[in-house]
Amino acid sequence: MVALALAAVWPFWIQNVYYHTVALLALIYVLLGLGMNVLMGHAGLVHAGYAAFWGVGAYVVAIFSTKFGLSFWMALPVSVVGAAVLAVLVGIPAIRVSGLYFVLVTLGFGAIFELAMTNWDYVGGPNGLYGIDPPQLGSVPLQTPRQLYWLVLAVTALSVLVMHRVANSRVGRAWNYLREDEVAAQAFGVNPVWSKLQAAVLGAAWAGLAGAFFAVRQTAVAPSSFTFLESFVVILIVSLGGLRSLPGTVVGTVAMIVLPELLRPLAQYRFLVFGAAIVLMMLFRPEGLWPGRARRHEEIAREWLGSRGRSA
Amino acid sequence: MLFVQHLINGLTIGAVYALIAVGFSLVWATLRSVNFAHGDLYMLGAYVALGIGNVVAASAGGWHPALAVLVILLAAAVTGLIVSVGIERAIFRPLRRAPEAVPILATLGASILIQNVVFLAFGSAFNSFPLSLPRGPFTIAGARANVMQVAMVGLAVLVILGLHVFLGRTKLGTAMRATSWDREVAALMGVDVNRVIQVAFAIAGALAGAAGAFVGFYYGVITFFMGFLAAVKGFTAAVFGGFGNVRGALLGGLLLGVFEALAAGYVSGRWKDAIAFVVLILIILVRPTGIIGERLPARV
Repeated sequence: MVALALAAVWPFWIQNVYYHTVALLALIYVLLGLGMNVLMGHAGLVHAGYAAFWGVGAYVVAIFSTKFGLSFWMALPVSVVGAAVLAVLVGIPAIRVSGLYFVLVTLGFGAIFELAMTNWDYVGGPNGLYGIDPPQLGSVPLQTPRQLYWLVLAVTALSVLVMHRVANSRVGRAWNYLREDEVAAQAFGVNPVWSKLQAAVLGAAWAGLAGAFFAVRQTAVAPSSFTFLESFVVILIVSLGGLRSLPGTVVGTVAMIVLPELLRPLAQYRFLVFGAAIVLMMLFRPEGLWPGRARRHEEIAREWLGSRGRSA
Repeated sequence: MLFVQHLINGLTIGAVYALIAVGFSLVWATLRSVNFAHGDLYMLGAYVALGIGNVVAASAGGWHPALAVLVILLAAAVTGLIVSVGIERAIFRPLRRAPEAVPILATLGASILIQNVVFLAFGSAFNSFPLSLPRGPFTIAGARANVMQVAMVGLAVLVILGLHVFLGRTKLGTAMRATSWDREVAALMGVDVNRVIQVAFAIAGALAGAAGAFVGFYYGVITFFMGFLAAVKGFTAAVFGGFGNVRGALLGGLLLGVFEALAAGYVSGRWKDAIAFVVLILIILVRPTGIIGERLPARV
């Protein structure tokens, strides 16, 4: 609560627009991290084509605005639903394979999305689309980074609540049980394909949401923003920060997005340090900087049985 | 004949994919893991070739082309070998018991690290090769080919078939196959599993480095991020042919190269790089054992 209040008021004191734009970008990555946390943290699905969902969200807003002149608020639900639909299309074949093969199939889908956008002339090919209108709140256009920051902050706060509820719901417990022990979870009546598909849809929907806000932040979209590397950046945000942990996602975003941004004078070396940091983290602290509570699966099984008991 | 021309070009690049694919297969067979920095060993090989090529081009008397090629290939292979073994020692060995995603993410970090070392040393631009070798062009069935292409394909085929014989006939090869079947039982039977894995990484690195040097000569232009796409294609070739199987890697690499060349020639060059991804997805979903895979990689 205190953190949220602080996040809401600091832009009043610090007027530097540069910090506002960086903070806005960080929030967008927190949204992406929240979605990836569902996929990877809870359902154990390392989705290497995640940036494609982000891209769908951004491209929908861009097409609505630049091709049809429709408002951001009309586009937003389409962004979310579009990303979710793509998640189902990718997920139905991909979820049947496990582990490394899932990573590779999704990596392939992500790369094909990027190639498709690059080669589709309607959306500007490699140059993308530009001149996206800002969202209107009543008759006020939310144009400055600070206004957008507040809007996305509100969305993020709401998302955190939703994610917390979902993770502790029956659906969320099923994901955790599946991740810990798929065979045992199936024995308790969890349908693995259906359950993982739910996780994929929810995770992708949040990526679509983040993409919509990303489009209005940039006022332009291009395929180069949605490469496989961006998927790995999000994977690293949640795994460096700590899976299943909101503070972890925030810490991961600071480490992966904010620090490199503020260290721009040292830009040449930042990826060098970044690569080395990943190696060292994986060697010495693979659970992340601020991991979520580790849940033993007996505990999850008990909760699952409990919820069965209640619902029956 | 246009078709023969596509076939020749496809086989040439397919030989490179095959050399990369073999490395993925060997590492998978012995360790059941994937080195995401494998493509960067190939990139390093290309840059070693560039560096030595600069020296050769600058030397006044000039070297005999065959000697230059031999020295460059050897140096590229040794570099790939050393870095590959280094990655095994620094990342895979300490993380042998960690969850499977941990070492894989660590090699992703290593990949970014290696790329940026090269980026800082050589810059972000495309680097051109100073040395152009005599290629010895000739025509076959109305299509243009050259001795370099024949040498690339020939060497890849010979090396990989040689590797197949090594795995089948020698004691160390038998130990590698035993490790591939069941690491724990192999260890109980007295196989030094750590050494077997190290040998797999050494061979993988050497072949990737040599492949990089080849590509440098063939295209004449290299970049510090050339490793990623090459790794995806090498990996696809390995899965395509039958993961963990060296003959499969050869077959998969050559076929993938030919597919790409035909698609670029008859459909559209813009979609060439998508071919590898489509093949990868289809193979994993439809026939995960690959063309000559005998069994599924064990996964529960």
